[in-house]
Amino acid sequence: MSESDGSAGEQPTVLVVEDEEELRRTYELWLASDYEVLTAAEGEEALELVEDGVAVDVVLLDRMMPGLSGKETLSEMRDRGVGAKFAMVTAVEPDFDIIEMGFDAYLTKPVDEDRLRDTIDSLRSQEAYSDALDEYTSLLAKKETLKTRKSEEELAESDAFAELETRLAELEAELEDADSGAGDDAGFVAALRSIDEGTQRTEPEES
Amino acid sequence: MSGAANHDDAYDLGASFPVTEARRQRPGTTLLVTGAGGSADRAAREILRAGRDASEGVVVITTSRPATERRADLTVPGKQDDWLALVDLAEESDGPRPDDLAAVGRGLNEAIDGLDTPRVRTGILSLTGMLEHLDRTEAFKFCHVVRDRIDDAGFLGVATLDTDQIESATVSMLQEAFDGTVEIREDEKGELLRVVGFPDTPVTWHAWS
Repeated sequence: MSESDGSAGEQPTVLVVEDEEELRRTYELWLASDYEVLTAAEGEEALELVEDGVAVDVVLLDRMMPGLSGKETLSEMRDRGVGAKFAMVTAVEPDFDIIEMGFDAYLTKPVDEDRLRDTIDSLRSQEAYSDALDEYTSLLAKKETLKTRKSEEELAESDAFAELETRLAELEAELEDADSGAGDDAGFVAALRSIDEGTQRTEPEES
Repeated sequence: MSGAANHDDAYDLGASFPVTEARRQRPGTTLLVTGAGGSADRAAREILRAGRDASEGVVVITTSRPATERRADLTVPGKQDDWLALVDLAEESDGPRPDDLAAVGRGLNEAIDGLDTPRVRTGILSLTGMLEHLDRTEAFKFCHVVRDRIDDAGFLGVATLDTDQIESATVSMLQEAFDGTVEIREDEKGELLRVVGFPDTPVTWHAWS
């Protein structure tokens, strides 16, 4: 953590949960130039951090730790509504059983700097995709509702409707560019899970 | 990106598909099939069966009909049927629940993985059934994410909507999550089919039998 002034807050925050101190320091060193890096030596410590209200974008969780395992820490954090993306760092190649655990990405040890950065980038991109998809979907629903209530002439004259169309086009382009991560098994399930989570967070919409 | 194509790797929608310009679709294309009653289902089944003829794999997410009935719909008794994998969301199955989309996704992953072929057609039969458990915004996002998967893998995707059961505003919204729509309607002479959404395919009704 190099800076603690206001501008540091604009960097995305990565929480590294790893019991081996050397690995913790290494990841921190690799990431410190682009991210606000927080570290925890075990699951309980990580939970305390998020309970103190620290906003976290990405959490790296070691699979095997003393105390809470990576999987247990993940489910505790999800239960507490932590809206971060989670990567599991594991010594074994992920198979369907691991994907079942609900991580958004997997990193197999030994982790190198490029792969660590790639994984965080792709998690950030998943997030950007699901945010854009949320907004796009709610605006499309709004558009359909307007179309059933107003005549074509009314819509053609409406500035608000024109703005809606413009924003929809922008979001469509964003979605085209953003990598949803759905190309691989874990990313696909992660993208679908964020739809499920969105449903739990918000009131059911009129449809 | 997607749309009608004459490349060798195109997916053939089948000899019975009446719109010549749209019969061959680029890998990564998704189609929404809309029609009243069972007409959309019939059209989707024909598109999926054409995959078997082309030695491709087919994965079907089944909602309203149980997997055994679906398998019987799509295969010929006594013939090899390992080209078909099902993700069973029907009420009495022990498969994933339709509103647990992460679980549906895992089911789809496993089904695709089990087929072990690079060319796959996926069918959501039916999206109408999923809408009994999801609102239209959730269904839209689901289709959008599945489209991304299909696009990335170079598959062909179809999904069906029964226009008798789903209001037109919802149909029109869900259309936006697909590359194109296959519409079916009936007039006094019989069933008609047209394709909407591809610049190189004229939007005209064709007799379909």
